[in-house]
Amino acid sequence: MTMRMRRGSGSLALLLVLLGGVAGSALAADDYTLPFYDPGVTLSFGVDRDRTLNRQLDWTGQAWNDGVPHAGRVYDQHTGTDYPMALRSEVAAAKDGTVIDVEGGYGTTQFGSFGNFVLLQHADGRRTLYYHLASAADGGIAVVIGQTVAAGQLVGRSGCSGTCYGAHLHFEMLAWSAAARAYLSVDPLAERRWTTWPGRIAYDAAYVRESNPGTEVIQQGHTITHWVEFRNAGGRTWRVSATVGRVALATWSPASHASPFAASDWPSTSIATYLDNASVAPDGVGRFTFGLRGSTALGIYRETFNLAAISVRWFDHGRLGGFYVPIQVTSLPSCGPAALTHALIPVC
Amino acid sequence: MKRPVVLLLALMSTVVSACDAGRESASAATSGPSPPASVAVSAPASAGERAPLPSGFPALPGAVPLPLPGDDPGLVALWSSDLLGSAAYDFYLRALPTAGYRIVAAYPGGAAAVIRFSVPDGTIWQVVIRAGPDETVAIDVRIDRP
Repeated sequence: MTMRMRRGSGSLALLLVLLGGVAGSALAADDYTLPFYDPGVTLSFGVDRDRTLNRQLDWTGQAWNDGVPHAGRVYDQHTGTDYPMALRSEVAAAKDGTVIDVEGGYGTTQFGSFGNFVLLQHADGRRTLYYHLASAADGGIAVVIGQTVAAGQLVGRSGCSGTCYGAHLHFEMLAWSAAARAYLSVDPLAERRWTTWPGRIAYDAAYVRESNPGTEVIQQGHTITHWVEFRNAGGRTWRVSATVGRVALATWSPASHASPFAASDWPSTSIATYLDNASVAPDGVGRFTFGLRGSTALGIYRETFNLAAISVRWFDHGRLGGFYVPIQVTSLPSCGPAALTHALIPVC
Repeated sequence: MKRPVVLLLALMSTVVSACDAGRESASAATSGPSPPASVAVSAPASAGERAPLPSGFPALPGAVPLPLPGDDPGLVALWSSDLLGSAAYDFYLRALPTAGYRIVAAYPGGAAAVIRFSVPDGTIWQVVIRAGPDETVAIDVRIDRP
């Protein structure tokens, strides 16, 4: 059941409208991000900001007042935001927080109230709820009470438990009301300072350029330097100093394999480097510089890399353009782009 | 200003498929829950001046047709079902393409679901699935609306 306050009073409805009336502020980095990983997920139904029966005020400010569901906008007395998500899709924490309640006793599509859910407490005093999750056996609940989670961290998988008309995630944001002495749901879309909708997933990146987009030719036993730049397309600032969520360039396909091209500057045999910049805000461009050592037999190779938010999750490698570096290990001296730049005829 | 065009197309489809009104597939009436192949042509009770259902619209097994309210001319069919809302939603996600319709967008939710689909002439319709009385599920078919 997703309508947690079915019969709001007029004053309560007014309070909620006022709470939702802080619209217009700029989107804030490191605020709330979309509670999933697929940036292509759309909106089914948002919060009804007028909780009176048969009166709807949607997240865009449009009133309907007919009691019927309006696709992409609102249905009557809805307290959360419904996102269509296939069964067992990954659900992410919208912000750093602590798990304060979990329900996992329902089947993935079993009828009954809210179904399986996770409730997070955040440092700003707000709470977020993730309803209708899959059964525990289906990975619906990925956290335990008392656990701290980072923004973007997996908290469960979507389902259709509870009162539910098709698999989706009901995401709800709650703010403490001193007047009501209760947590009341607010509309993260209408407030707009939240990055929830239209919003961004926590960690996402797009390929920009690299030092050599062609094949890196490496003399056997020698090391060359390579760099690549990605645009921060997520909602979280990349910080090199972070303990959780520090962004690294690591080997991929398979994930975290020991690279035969690991150079002495790599933090480990699977992590080529951390972010060069101290921080990269959303829409900024971050550079990753690392060595590649020709330690293998002569031949032509490719080494595949992906970005990872350490202790949180991998980025979507496809959205990074399937990034890899073609490598040729040769017995001849390297003939890098610098040499080509400064001489009409390669000197190597 | 597309609404009049949509209504005109709906009226035209009324003429085309009026002969289907009142027929119901035997398989839909007798089969178990959610067989996508049990596609039937069904019609609402007391349709009056309304457009009929799109030709070949799939019938949800076991669903009972209900009288249409008089104050909603866009509504062309209404059923009640004892199935879970999720089962009804999943049935139409499978059955509409099987019946030759294109799903334009699907909006699952906690108290309702809307599936927007188009028929071959391009007209867009909606299936709305929501809570009915006594823990039943109500299924509307209607001309598209915002």
